[in-house]
Amino acid sequence: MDQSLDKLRHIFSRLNLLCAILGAALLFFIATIICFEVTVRAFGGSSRLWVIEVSEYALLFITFLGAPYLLEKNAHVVLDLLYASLSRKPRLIVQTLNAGIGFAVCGVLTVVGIQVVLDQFSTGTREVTVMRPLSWWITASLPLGMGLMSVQFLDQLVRSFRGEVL
Amino acid sequence: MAWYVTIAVILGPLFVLMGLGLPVAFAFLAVNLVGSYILMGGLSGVEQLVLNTIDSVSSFTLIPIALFMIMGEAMFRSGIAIDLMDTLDKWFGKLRGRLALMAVGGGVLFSTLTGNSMGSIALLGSSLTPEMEKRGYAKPMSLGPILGSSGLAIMIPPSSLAVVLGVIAEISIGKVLIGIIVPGLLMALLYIIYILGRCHLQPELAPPFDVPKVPFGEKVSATVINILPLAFVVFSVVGVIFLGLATPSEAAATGAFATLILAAARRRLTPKVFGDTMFSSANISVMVLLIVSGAVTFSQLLAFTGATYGMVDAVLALEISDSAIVFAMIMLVAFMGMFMGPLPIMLITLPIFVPIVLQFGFDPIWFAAMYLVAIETGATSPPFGAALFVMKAVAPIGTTMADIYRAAVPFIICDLLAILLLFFFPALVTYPVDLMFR
Amino acid sequence: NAVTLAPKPVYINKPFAQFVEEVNEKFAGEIEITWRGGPEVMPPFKQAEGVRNGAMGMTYTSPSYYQGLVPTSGTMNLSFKNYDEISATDYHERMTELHAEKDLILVGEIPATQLNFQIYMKDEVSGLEDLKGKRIRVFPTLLPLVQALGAEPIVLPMGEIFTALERGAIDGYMQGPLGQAEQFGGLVKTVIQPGVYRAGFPVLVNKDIWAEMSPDLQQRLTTFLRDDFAPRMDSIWAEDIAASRKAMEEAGFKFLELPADEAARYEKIAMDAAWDVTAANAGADIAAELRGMLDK
Ligand code: NA
Ligand code: NA
Repeated sequence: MDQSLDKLRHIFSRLNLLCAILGAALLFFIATIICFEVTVRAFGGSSRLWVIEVSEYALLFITFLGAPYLLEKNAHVVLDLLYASLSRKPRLIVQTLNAGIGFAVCGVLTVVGIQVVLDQFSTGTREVTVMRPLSWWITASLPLGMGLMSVQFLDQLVRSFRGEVL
Repeated sequence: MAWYVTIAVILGPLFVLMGLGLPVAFAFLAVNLVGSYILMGGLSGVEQLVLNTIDSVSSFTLIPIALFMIMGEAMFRSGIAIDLMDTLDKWFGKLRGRLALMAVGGGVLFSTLTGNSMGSIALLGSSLTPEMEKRGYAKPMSLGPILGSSGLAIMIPPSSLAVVLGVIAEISIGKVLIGIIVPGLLMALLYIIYILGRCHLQPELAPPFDVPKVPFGEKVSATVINILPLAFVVFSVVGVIFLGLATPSEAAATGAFATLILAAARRRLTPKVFGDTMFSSANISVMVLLIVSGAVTFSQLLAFTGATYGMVDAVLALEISDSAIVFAMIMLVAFMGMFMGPLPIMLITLPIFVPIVLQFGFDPIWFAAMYLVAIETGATSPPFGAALFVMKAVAPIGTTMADIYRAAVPFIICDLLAILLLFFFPALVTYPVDLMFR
Repeated sequence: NAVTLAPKPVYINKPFAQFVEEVNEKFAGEIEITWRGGPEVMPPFKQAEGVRNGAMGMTYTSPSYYQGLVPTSGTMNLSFKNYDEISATDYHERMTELHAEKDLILVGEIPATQLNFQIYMKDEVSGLEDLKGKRIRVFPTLLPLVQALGAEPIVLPMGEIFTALERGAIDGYMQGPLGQAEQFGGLVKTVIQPGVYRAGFPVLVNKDIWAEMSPDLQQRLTTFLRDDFAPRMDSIWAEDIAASRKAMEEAGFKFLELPADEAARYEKIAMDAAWDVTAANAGADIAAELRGMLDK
């Protein structure tokens, strides 16, 4: 039981890291294309209209690809006014509560996000932009990130029930 | 429901969740989720939340935040920032608070390139704070000046928020841009006075650097090696905008690249430094963007309830003199900034306020300048001013939210002082505008 | 619950505010519209989807904002006819069917024929030829036109137009006729006349809310908007436009009136370019059918 749990954890941990690296690569990619755009234009070349739009979509994927990794590392911004001063017992309770809320929120958003994606897929909705990509490609970033994050919160929940202080 | 009840009902759970240590982004998400379920027709409300969240992140105006993060991280990790401070120490080692003053200077400098204060915090926070801390600067003197001066981004042209203000309020963008320069410099001046004063009273906050008499030649050579090349970076950001080669958002990308090139030229850009720079700047961007998107959709929810409109009406219904009403409007904007983003505040209040200001016979440019200072103040105000969370994301590990709140407060007081000065001396705004547009 | 493309007090909402008032009075006890606000409540490009999924009951929006959902919606801009002339064709009936295919109820449009799009240039321009190679900021909808003119379309956030224009990163932009002098005074030298296209703002309703209304009520509301309210609104903008033009002239904007044949060519380029895109996105048949109703 413990072994297979560890194995599972390891797999998801790898997946999170992979997504985060992908996100970092995307960030470098948008810096590159915007720079390239400016340079070409400076030398009298014409403008590539897709640059701004691709950067916007990339930003979305950077965010949702990177978020699960940060959650795994407990690196998201926390308002630590009260939480840090708690002793072990109440801290465990609060931690369980937080993991539960996080799991519920991310879980619901995963499911509803998938619904929205399927709906946009079936109606063929497109973005109202220069490139007019199918919207579901864009929207899919959200359930992807939320799905991975609900797994992380679930793991936090499991750890909390076992009495581990994170 | 009265507007204050609605606000309490919505803000209360947000406070509790954040207080319990649920990460800020998820606290926003949780409240947004429940709120849109209740208010916007059950599951269809949640579907809309998904769409709104997507819309709020895929925004070109947020791109500079991520790109400035690359710039800041690259400066820090390649040691460019450290060299810069070493050189400053050689020149000004005996001046107390020199690094804090440099942060204000940096704020002014970088304010010439972005209209978004979060980009400024990203850059200055990630490049300066770790080293300031190492040199013994206490948090109020390392975090505070950066928080304070980052807001200058919207006060000195180009400023996208000032332009947005001009568009929404239908007043001259050109005049607004000229009108805010003096208020921006006034704020910087107040920050400097505060820093010098506080360093004088509490010298331990910003230790001097014991300079073992550095020869003049060494000072000059250090400057040539460590500071002059930075002109290349500054040009790649400010210069390209000035020459019309790039829009302000694009300039963040050229700046990021120039920093990487500079690091490479100094043989500091090892594959590890490059990888770490990209990985950590992506990570911090993720934290910030997730919070920003949560905050934006939260503001939409508040607007939907009508509570924010109720708040606006309540201020307008006060039975006080015309100029007192104007002052109350400005204070309301700063207050809303404590829990809402700048754009929604502007969309809600400006179309209502500006016609009233005109009707009272006041100068709309004067109002716009105070308004922007108030927006800026709100963004650094506890508990939920977005700039504070950005600072928390970039600050060295071990920095608590309370540290950040404490560091921010004196600068908020400076901002309020600036508003008062502008309120009683409108000429600070109107004189330069008249000079330019006669 | 209703949401609009712009914040409540903005001029473009003037007719909608009146619509809400008149409907709430005329249909008291049957329909009540609560206007929640504009983009501060729901992002403009997601408002039609919000009405479709039921998060919002009604929207007064720009037809081009939801072309991704209803590919023909943008055609509401593509005419030089006024409202009465369009209304005489089957255009609105046909559009209602096309909306219904995507589960959206098109109650009608609130027209503003006079609010067309104009090209504003930083430098002096003496004819359409001068636009070749110039960088012009556009909404995605106007992109085909600018391309067809041989200029280079640029897509920028609203907040960056001013700086980009001032610094020369763009040479011009396309916008409606109102509010320009106040915002861009001192930066614009030439406004190209005539403007192109027309404005009309669809009023969309959620299909479940619609289904709850009796067929008689549905009929009465539709008739009220299409035959009573809309015709009254079509020409309310003349005064504002004249005032705005005066302000622009005082701010040093020069109005370049294209000679008749050149103007005709310009209008044709505008229509052809936009319809080609509609045909590519929505299908050639439907584009031809709608164009038949909208062309003069
Ligand atoms: Na400040
Ligand atoms: Na600025």
